[in-house]
Amino acid sequence: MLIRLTLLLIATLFIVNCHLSAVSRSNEVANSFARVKITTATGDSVPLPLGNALTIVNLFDEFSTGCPTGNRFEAMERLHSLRPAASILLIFSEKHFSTQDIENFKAILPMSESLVKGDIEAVRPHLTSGKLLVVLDSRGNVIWHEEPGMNEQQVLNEISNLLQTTSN
Amino acid sequence: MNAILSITLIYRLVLALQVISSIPEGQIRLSPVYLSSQPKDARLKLAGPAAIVVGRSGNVYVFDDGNSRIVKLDPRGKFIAEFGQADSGPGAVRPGGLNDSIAVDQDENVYVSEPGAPRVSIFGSDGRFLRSFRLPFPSTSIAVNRKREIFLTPDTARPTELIYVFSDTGKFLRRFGERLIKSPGSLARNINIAVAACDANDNLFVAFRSWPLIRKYSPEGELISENQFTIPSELIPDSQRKNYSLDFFAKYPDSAFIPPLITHSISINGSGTGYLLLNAHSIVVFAPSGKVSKQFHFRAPRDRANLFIRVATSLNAKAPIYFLDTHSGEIYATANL
Repeated sequence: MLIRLTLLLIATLFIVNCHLSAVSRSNEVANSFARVKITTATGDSVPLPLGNALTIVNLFDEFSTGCPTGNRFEAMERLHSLRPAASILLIFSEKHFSTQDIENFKAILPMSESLVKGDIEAVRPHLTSGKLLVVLDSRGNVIWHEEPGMNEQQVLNEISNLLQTTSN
Repeated sequence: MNAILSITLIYRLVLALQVISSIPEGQIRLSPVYLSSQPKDARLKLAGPAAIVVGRSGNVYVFDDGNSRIVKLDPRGKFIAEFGQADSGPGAVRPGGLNDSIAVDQDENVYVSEPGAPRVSIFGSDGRFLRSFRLPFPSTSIAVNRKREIFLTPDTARPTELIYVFSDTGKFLRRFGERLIKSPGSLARNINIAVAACDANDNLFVAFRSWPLIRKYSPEGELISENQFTIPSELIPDSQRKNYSLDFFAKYPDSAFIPPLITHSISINGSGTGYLLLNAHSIVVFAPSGKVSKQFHFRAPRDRANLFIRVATSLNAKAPIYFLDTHSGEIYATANL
């Protein structure tokens, strides 16, 4: 009986701990994300432009169409084609991408109006494989963010559901 | 109009019918230029060198992938310098696999395309890092013309053009060239991988990694000619031959089939004669027009133990033709082919 109670206590503590750490991570992402800024063509740092409803933001510290960041870009393209009204912002780290690089990307890649450069250093600890996707509400609050280990299909499904729920 | 279309279609059909056949043995005299196993100083040993280019002065630059650096040799193979090492700050080159990723301009500035976190880094001939810019895709080959325009062949499953051109300051200028398979997909990606080289008149020659075709483009990107060579029969097993066609590849662009690597690299000399290195031990020689003049197997110095992955010569008409062996780090040269 004592063994059973001990096991139950351990399991409960584990579940509570997992929940608390998930909440804690969410809070950390939200707090860090508040410090992300985009860089304008004149070099000024300004807050993120927000859509009327949700804004989907992906941060890229690295980018290549031949690696997981390219898969993310394709996922964003799919979201864009499925939900053209959704606000999408793809922010490339100003530490690794110059203004010229972003101009080139705009000329070469689709969704050129969504590509911007920005200061993403505050969120660096939360990047997974050089990227992080978050969804903001119209006031800039983080209402969803990707978790480490999520694949592109999961990301697509969760955001599609979120957009669906919001539009209803 | 219809007649022109019909002729074009027939021409395309003829090109689509691959030629797979045995090719003759030829004799070339390869002399050792740089043997990595000989020097005792570890700094002088190459480790999995991925690419080689020859400047007008005759100096040879090697992308030493395993050591993440560029090695500069004199025409006789004497070690002159190394640069781009891991501890060299923003100019550190990152290892990126066996891409044909180094080029020089007429002043012997060195251009390195790094596929890992795709970018182009530019160095002076003395190894001084000048600048770099990012690419949205990895590139399988890099070439530079007299105007210092940089030509890159993307390695991507996205439906793109064949060639992307940037200025030496990193500004995207233009793109051109039809991919062999236009649909997106992994097989389409493999089939469209290409290597490129500029001639002395800034024409661009492009050869495909897994399809026997040489294209010649004008400096502005207009297609001037397409010429086919023979796929050495040992590269395509009998069971695959019936499906080895552009029609089949176009029908199944996302197939898991990995086509054999036929063309390793391309280089052009000062007279406009071009060389393709195929499957490590075959050479295609083509005229300035792009027309194939000869094709043959050659015997490696160590009786085929060498694995040559690159051929390189320079726009200086007197330059020899170099062969790079990635396994042993050996470089050999021959006066002509």
